[in-house]
Parts: sequence; C-alpha cells; structure tokens
Amino acid sequence: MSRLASPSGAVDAVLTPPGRGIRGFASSFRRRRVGIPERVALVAIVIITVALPFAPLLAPYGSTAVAGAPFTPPGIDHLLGTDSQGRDVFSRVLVGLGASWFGAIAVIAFGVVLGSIIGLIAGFAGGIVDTVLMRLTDAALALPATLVALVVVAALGPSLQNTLIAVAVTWWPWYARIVRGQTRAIMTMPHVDAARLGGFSRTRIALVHVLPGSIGTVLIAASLDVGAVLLVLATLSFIGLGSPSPAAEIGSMTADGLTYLLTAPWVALAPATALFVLALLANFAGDGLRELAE
Amino acid sequence: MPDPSTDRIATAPSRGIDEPVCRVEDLTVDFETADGLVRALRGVSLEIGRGEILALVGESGSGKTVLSSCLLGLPPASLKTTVGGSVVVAGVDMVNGSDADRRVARRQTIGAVFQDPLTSLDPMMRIGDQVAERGATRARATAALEDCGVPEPGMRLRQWPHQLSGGLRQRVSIAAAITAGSSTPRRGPGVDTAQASAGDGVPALLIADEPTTALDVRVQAQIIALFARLRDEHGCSIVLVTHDLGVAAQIADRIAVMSAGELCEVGSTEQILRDPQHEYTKSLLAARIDINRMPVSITERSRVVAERRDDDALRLEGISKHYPKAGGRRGEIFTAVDDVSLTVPAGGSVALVGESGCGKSTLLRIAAGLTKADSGGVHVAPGSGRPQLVFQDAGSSLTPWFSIGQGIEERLRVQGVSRREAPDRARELLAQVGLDARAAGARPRALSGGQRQRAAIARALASDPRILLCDEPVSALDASHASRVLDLLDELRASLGIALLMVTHDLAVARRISDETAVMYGGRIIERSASEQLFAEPREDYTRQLIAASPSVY
Repeated sequence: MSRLASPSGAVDAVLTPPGRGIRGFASSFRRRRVGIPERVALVAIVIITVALPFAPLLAPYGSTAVAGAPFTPPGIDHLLGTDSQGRDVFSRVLVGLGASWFGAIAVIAFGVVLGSIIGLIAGFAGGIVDTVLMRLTDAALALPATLVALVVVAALGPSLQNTLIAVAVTWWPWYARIVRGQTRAIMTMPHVDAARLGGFSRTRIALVHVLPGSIGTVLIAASLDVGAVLLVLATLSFIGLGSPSPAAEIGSMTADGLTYLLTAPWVALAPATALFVLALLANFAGDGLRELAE
Repeated sequence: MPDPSTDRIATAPSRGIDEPVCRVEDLTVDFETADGLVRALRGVSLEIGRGEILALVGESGSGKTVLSSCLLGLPPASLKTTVGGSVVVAGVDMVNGSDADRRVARRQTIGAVFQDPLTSLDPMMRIGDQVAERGATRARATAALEDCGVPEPGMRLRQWPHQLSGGLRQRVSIAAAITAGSSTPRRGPGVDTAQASAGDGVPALLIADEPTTALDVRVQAQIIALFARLRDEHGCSIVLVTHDLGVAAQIADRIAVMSAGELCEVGSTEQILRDPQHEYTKSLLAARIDINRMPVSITERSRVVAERRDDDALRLEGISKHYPKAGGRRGEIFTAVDDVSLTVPAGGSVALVGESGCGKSTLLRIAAGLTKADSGGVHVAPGSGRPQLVFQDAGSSLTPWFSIGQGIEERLRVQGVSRREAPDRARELLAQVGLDARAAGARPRALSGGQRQRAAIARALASDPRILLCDEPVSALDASHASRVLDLLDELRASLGIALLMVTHDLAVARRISDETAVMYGGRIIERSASEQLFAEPREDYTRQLIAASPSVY
C-alpha cells in the first residue's frame, strides 16, 4: 500500500519554477487560483497543525481514563460514545490523531532531510558515487514497510516510536530520487557553469547554487505524501505493531472496535472516519500547495 | 537555387490585391494575467492579398505571434483571453465563425509553419504520415517533399523527425503545410471553396512564424527561396512573422511593422526600408546590426586598440575534443574540435563564426575551463584571472533564486572584498554596465532580456577578468538591446582592456565587434584574418557563402 500510495517517483527531474517566496503564495491564494476544496483543506490543515498539540487539553476526558459506562452511545456527555472499557472515544480519537499527525510529519521531515542529502551528493558528484548511492537507495526502496516494522518491533518492542523508525527507514528514498533527478537537471543549467567560473568551492556550488532549485519540488512531493504516511502508520498500528493498549492510537482503536462493530459501531468507525478525513484533507492541502507553487 | 533577392521589390506592385485572401478588421486581443490585463492586440486592421508575401515584423512582445495565431483561428488558450473584431480568411471568420467552419478552413485553406520544426513535428509519427495527414496520397506527399527540396523524398517518407537535420525538418513541416486540402475538398458550410486553395492543393494562405530563426544562415537562405517559389509557382499568400528586418527584406512584397500590439506602419518593402514613416520603424532600422553597415566609430576604435596590443591574453594550442558519436556504434567518435590553435591579443577582440555543430561553442567551453580538451593546451596570460563567460541565455546563467546584487556580491566576496564594501562595489559594477542601482534587488526573472545580459556581464566583471568569452551573447535579444550590449562589450574592452573572444553564428555581429574573425567549419578553423579584410575579400568559398547568405537590408 505504501509504495503505490506515493506518487513522488513520477516527478523526478521535472524542474520547478523558482520560488516566489511567501508573498507569491499568499497572493496566489487570494487570487483564487486554487480550487475551493484545496483552499478549505489548506486552512483546515493549518488549524489542525496548530490545535493538535493541545489535543490532551482539548479532550473532555483523559485518553486512557474510564469516563463512563462501557458502550455508551454518542450523546451529549460523550460526543462519540465510549468504548468497551468505558473510555471516551472522542478524547481518544483527538489524542490519537495528534500522535499520528505529528508522527507522519516527523517521518516526512526525516525523509526529506536524509533524502535531500543523499540525492544532492549523488547528483552532484555523479559517476561511481552516484551509482553506489542510488543503488543503495533502490535497495532501501525495495524494503516493504510492514516487514521492516515487524523486524524493528521484534527487536525493540511495539511502540509508536518504533513504527516511526520503521516507516522513516523505508520512506526517505523517494526524496533521494527526486532531489537526485532535480540536481542532475539543474547541473546542466548555465548558472551552475557560471558559478564554477566564479571560483566557488564545490560545497558552496552544491548547497547555494544547486540545492535550492530542488527544495520546492521535494517539499511539494512531501506534502502530497503526508496522507499516505498517515495511512501506513495506522496500518501498522492496526496489525498490532504500534503502542500497546491502552495508548490511544487510531489503528489499534479501529482494530479493537471491530469486535463490537455490530453492537457498538462508533467504537471502530469514529477513529477510522477521523483518519480518513485527515488523510483526505492532507492530500487536498498537498494539491493546493502544488497549485500555489505553479 | 533561385536568388531570393532578385527583383522582388519591382514585382510587388503588380501582384494585385484584387480580392484579399485574408482581411483582418479591428482585431483586439486581451489577456487576463496575474499582473492584470495585457492588451496584446489593439485594433489591428490588415489585408493580405492573393499571392503576396507579407512580413510581420516587430520585437518580442509586439503581438506579432498573437496576430499570426489569430489568423489560424487559434488565439492563445492558456490564459483568459478576450478577442474582438474579425479575421476573415477565404470567407470564413476565424474569430467568430463556428468551430466546424474554422476547422475546415485550417484543413484546406491555411497552412502553418513554426519556428522549431522539432517540436512542431510529431516525434512519434513517420515523415510520410505527417505530410499526408490531411488526406494526401503517398504520391502527393512525395511530390510535396520534392517540391520543398527534400532530397530522396521516397526514402524520407519512412523516416522519423529526429533522423533529419534542422533544415530538412523545416522543409518537411513546410511540405506538410502545403499539402493541406489536397484531398477531395470537403465542403464546409461556410467555406468558399473557390478561394480555399491557391491551386495544386497548396493552401491559399501560409502562416510562417519565425520559420528560419532556429536555422543556420545558409539553410535560412534556402528556406526563404522555397517560400518565394511557393508564391511564384503556386500563387500562395504567405505571412512571414519575423523579428529580423533583414529576412523580411530578402523576400517580402510588403512589410507590416508591429509594436506594443499596434500596427505602426504597413507598406511596400521598398518604402519601409528606404522611406520609413513611423518613428518605431526608423528605430528598428537604426538598431539593426547589419553586415553591410558598420558604425564608423567602432571600426575606428578597433583599429586603435589593435595597434596598442603587444602580448596575448589567451592562447589556445592544438585543441582537440572528441565525443562518442550520437547513435553510433561503440567506439565510433565524433570530432567536435580538431587541432585548433587560436590567440586572443590583450585588449583585442576575436570573433569565432560558424554554423551550428562546427565546434565553436565546445572550443569556447574548453577555453573557459568548463570542458576538458582531449589534447592541446589553454594558456592564459599570468595575472589575467580566470576567463569569464557571457552566456547566450543570460536569464538561465543567473542563479534564479539570487537577486542580481547577491550574485555580484558573492563574486566580490571570493575576491576578498569585505562584506561592508561589497554592496557599494556591486552598485558601481551595475552602473558600469548601464543598470540602475535598483536592479541589485531584483530577481533575474523580473528583468528584460537585455537587462539580464547586462547583469550577467556585471557579475562577470566582479571576478575582475582580463578575458571575456562570449557565447552568442546577443542572439536571444531584440535588435535594439543587441546593439547596445555589443556597444557595452566594446566599451569595456576599450576602457578596461578586457580581451574578447566571441562565438557567434551572425556574421554582422562578428564584423561589428571584432578586430579579427576566424571561420570554423567541421571542428577546424578554415580561415582567419583581420575582420575588415575577411569581409571584404574572403579567401574560402565557404566564407563567401556565409557572407552572401547573411540577411541585410542594404
């Protein structure tokens, strides 16, 4: 699922126009160059990112505390009802989403940084360095996230942190490939020749005259991947590789709730739907960012 | 090959405009862009007579390409566009007519030829299929190719666009354009079939948008001759969109001069060139770098500098460079530069002219140290600093995310200029190349082509070079900018004693800027002498051909 979910590979070697900075983005946003769903999603994602760190404070009950009778249907006291232990589903979803959201962002950030470094070195150096680094990248790409997660969890025990490590290990190669392709393309541009004639060091040319040209593309690709990473993390948690109970995690909550799907459907459907909406918003927001960049 | 320049002006009036093929009335085109409304055409009215060649001349942004696409009934669709007025071609209104009518008109009445035949031909389609796409028979396609001077037309039918040279590709796209309507004419509801074709299945109207700009001068002359033949033998009307008055002078019956979306002046070629009425036409003619007219001051200055020189700034000795042959077998090599030796005297200027693929740009890159030669040596006079390169595409030679000032200051800092002094020094350099100090804060994309080239030159000067290598520095610029950039380079040479080595395909540019000119062909320098002598008495046949093919308005 993770492989197919990431469209990043396709944008290899496509040059983004040079960025126009924050003001350019803002003016594009105001001029309605972006579709309505994308605009709504962008605003929603900003609010979510700002609000979710405070999820434990916003939640009406503790995420692991017993808040009422088991299987209380959704109502005034419990917006999304309670689960088999009598814990408030709304509070647990809020906290779980927060963990997933920032987990996904951490995985992507790690991937972008590591991938950019490796892609830049490979693309800039060329030759044998390029070959070795890119074959390593291909090897990492061939690792299935689920299996790596199993190995990591078997070695370190189940926890959110360990699933993050497992996904991060398999996710960076996408960005390495994008940055490498961009770097190769930018290297053929006259301004790089001009920089060489300026007598600057290779490091300076790579960091100052080449890398900034690929940052836009890789960030756009990354923003489109956030939704996919959310789903992968939830999948791993669903099959029991995340934090063990009673921690609030979207995947494990859905898995637990499945047992009572017919009698208390809200226990499974609430976290699953919340995740679906968040992933959808993330994808729309990614599209919106891409449109803004164009 | 018929000489395209013979007698065209004398015959122009006799080509009667009894019934125009195309009538443009009060055409306006507005684009809505992010930066507001752009008025691309402001009330253009024009008639194109049967069997005449009308050249549409103007600088970039003048609206000439927008006008030509309106003649095809294809106003640019990428932006929000408002079109007013009418364009009637052979009875069909290409602006307000129905889609069906316009489609039939494009199929039968109008042919189009574009600047870059590589992108206008379908790379996935054989030549024969493209030429015959509008329903021509194989025999007709072969005949059209032969008509357009494609050798071995039968064999070409099976080839792909990438297997042909640029000149051949352009001939193929012309052949495809003139086989319009060669099938049984389909009657469109509003199409006047009597007017649709100029005869022999050649469309009544051919729109050619900068058809020779991407081609070498000798090939350009052949294509121009081909257009003249289409007019004379088939009575085809041709709209030739070009930025170059020289090309227009070679072939057009009438010239229409455009500026800022308006038609400044329309008149016979003779009248426009000899007796221009509009100020803009006069300035276009004055700015044109013409091989047959050199500003006296520059030739004088060249001579003065030439006498002052004593030693060589740059010496290239026995340079060779080989590449694996594209599409060749393993081990096959292509010799880009073949044992070339060349010296550039301190404070002197040498032009290296030749057609595309002759190795001149490779040689320049080797001189700049960007490409390693397989053999031979590059010797730079001690204390000259690293030679700097001025690129053809100034825009892409400037780091896009740097402001102009940042790019210059970065160079200065490497030279040891302190952080505090760098901005002032950068502004001095900008002033030296004739740019406002405000340009320091601008990104390259905010500048015009000429300003970018000045900014690139200022950046090169920041490295304090004694040698400036120029790779077609003005070929992407409009004439008015081009002549001023050349003047700037000449000034720098005179005032700072910077030696120039300039690669160019344009002999007029070479003649204008250089003391000495070297002609390159097939990786070798075949002739080299003082510019005035070379242009007055060329020794080699090839040089004579190049000079003869250079467009001139005189």
